[in-house]
Amino acid sequence: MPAVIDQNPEANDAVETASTDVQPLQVHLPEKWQLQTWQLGVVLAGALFFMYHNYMRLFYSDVWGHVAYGNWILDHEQLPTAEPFVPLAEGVEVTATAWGGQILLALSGRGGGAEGYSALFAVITTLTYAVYALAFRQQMGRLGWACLASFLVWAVNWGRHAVIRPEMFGGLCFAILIACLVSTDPRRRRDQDETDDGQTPWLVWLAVPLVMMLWANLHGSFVVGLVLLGCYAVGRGIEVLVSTWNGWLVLEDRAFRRWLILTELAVLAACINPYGFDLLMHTLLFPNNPNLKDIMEWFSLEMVSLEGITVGASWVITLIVLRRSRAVLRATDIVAFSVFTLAVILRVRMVAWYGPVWMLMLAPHLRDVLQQIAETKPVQKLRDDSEVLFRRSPHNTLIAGLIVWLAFTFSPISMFVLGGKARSDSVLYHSDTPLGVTEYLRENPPNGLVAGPQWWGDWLAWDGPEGIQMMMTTNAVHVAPPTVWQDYLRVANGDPGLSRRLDKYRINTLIVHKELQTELERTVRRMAGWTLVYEDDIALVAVRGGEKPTEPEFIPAVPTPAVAEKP
Amino acid sequence: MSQSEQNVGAAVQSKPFVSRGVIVFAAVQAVFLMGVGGFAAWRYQELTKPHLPPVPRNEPIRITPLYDRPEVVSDEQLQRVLHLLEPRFRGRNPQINHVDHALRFWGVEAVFSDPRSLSGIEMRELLLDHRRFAAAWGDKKKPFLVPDTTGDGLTFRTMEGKASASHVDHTLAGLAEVGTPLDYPVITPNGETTLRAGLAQSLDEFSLNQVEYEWSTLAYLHYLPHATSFRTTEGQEITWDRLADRLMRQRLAQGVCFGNHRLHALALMLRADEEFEMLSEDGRAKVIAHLQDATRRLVKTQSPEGYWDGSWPGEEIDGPQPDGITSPMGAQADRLLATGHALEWWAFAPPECLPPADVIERAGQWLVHGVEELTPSQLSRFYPFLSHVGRALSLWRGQFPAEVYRPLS
Repeated sequence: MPAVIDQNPEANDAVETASTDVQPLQVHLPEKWQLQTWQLGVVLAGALFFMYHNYMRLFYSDVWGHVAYGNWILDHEQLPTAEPFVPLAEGVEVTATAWGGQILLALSGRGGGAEGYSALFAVITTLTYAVYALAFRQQMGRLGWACLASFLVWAVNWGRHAVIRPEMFGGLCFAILIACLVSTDPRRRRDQDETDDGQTPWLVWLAVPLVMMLWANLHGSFVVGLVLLGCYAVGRGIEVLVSTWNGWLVLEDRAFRRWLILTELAVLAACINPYGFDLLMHTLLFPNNPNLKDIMEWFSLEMVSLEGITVGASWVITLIVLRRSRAVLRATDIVAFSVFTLAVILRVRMVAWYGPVWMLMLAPHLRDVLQQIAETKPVQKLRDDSEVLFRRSPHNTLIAGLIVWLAFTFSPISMFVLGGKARSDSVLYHSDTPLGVTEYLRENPPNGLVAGPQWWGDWLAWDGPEGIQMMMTTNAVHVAPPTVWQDYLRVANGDPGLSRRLDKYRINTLIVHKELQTELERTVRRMAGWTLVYEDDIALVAVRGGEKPTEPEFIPAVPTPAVAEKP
Repeated sequence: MSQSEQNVGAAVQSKPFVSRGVIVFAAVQAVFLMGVGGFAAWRYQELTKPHLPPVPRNEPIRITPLYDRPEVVSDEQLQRVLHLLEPRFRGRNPQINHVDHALRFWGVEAVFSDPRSLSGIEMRELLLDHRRFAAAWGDKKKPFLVPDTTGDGLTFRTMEGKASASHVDHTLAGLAEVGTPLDYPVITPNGETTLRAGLAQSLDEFSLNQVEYEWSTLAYLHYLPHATSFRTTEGQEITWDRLADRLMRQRLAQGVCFGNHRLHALALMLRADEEFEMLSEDGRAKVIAHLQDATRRLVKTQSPEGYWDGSWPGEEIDGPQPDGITSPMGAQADRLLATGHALEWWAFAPPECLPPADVIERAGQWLVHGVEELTPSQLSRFYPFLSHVGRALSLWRGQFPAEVYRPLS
């Protein structure tokens, strides 16, 4: 206490009286808000997780196409009926299955430029895995274990964790749906008994259709949610049928009815979108597009690949955990896990949905195994020795708040609140983003169609000169007529007949990704009638002729044919 | 047995009969599932059903030449040229691409005084009756007419040697130009069908970005001028504007016969558009502008003698013409080819797309002399593009060759 020096004895008496009344600073924080010391680690991990995603460089691929679509929709106040950026795809019907997500991306860009996409991605991704952690906490009972489970889901999806596209909104919706499932099914919850009397919280009846309606308008992956709900209905039906061998009792089972009705409500809710029921049909028919067989994410699972390794690891973990688990393996788990395992085997891009379902199935068993480990003497001793880690303290909460604040202030997202400049291009964009190419093209606008790698097409259309017409973009792959797609592939691979194909499409500008298109680079460097006009570490640009044509003697009667083809 | 199984088991014992609630639930579910399933099945069929092409007219439209200018070619000159270019293909192994060019040149009404020449009807039979083809080429030759397994499609063997056509849909377009109706019987190795099967197969296989599309366009505008659009099996909607854009996309001299067939198809499209309004206002304006541009280039690059060659477009917006646009038949052949084709499409083009009269006159006179100077061997070898020369000269007298041709007494 500060001493107050005063010669007035009355005053001194008063000070002494006051000093005896004053207590040390007390923190009046309810105990439930007081964190344990080890939980600071969880907060720190979450903060680092957010920062990692916020600092992640923006990939050069289809995110820019989605942003462009979103802007197109906002500018035209309608959904596109044809591909707006690839003239060769005109006349082919487009179903904008991700229109809502594209608008959100576009709005984030309008609000915050490229940093806006990065911030949106970090927030959505962190939210997604936070929801998973909350859902798994219901299953596993302990936050630490739930965070571990959530981390494993993220790890399984490692090969695609950096993908910034409207699919991320679908990921969040899937997490919310799984949280709804867990809270609906009492047998899934740690604190409930083993019976399921079919009672369903009213919030779930509201949340599931609402989530599915939003999802259907955000991204075409909503079908995954319907499938998961269907798996629950089928799984519960099988459980009852196997137990009773009476089909009528299946219909009488309240839990089965719940899953069935929720599935039906979800289907109906998903039909509330601009395309109605047809959106569901389009999404189901989408994988039949012949062009997709050339796209890696639509390949079947290869074990010697990033996704193959993580999925294979998940299978190994499953075998170990189930071998040691004393928890009941339910038919719903078997059905859902089988369906999503089959899906990821057939289409590697399904790994994003496989991971959560895998953990949804595994969480009760993982809890049981972890519980067994926790009850072993060495672990008990370790726990006793490190009691300090489990002591609740308001200081921990304050430190956690500090960690969150520091993570926020040191993340790029803070510029929207605290001010500051956006990151420089070299750290904001992926190192393979052809920044130099678009700068060159803006200064030297190309005539006619431009052939570049499709994975750069979206960026070139986004950052290139206004009106640039790409032969192919990632977003146009499923829209382009197969003839065009096959010709594009042959051009991109530098197959024999390159010159003929370039003539056929009147392509006067070629962009080559030097690392991934080595054969094309070799061909272009020696191709007669073409000149390299730009080159940097990652890309080169070649144009027909090489010199700007002199002013035509008479004004061309028709704009370049590619312009004529623009919708 | 788990607790849930025990619960279910208990339910069995306590409720041995089916309750009304279950029946109602089952009925509602059945109605719901049938409703959604039926709707889904209907939508699936609608979304995946093949896009049927529009119904074509049986009789192709007839597009006639617009001008009669004796200054381009006199009556006597025209007769001399036409007699030189009679289809003297009677005998073994007549080259099919020569025959289909000759049929397009002369039409089915043509009858000749030279016994070595095939009449128009004989040429059409050679193309559309496998028995005639087999008689000329022998049984071992791969048939020119290739029916598909369903019987609904028919293709003309193309680019497989002398017993085949030289370009995609060239035979079909030629038959359309000479007025062959779609119900005309076609005798294939598998039996009888009609020319309609040929058009159906062409529409089924058409892609806007296929390598050769000029003759497909010609065939469609003769049989389908009333159609506003159709959808390819690739899912792309084809409108006349889109076809025109495709015809105008490539550099002017690229494509068969130095790009002239694209201009020819565009000129005929303009003519058909006058009656059927196939093109949009903007589309028609673009086509006219494109043809005017081609004409200006031709005026500029015409040789003093009156001919053109493969470099006729001069410099384009994407640079000068690439070197080596020549055919293997030599410079004179290239000149005849380029000049004959230009005069042919001009004969159908609206007046605003024409060059000054003297340009056409010089070209016509150069063609007459050029053909007359050819040796019999050259006349035979150059026949496909000479057929365009003969047809062009007739068209500039306002008539088709068979109408103006006079047999020798």
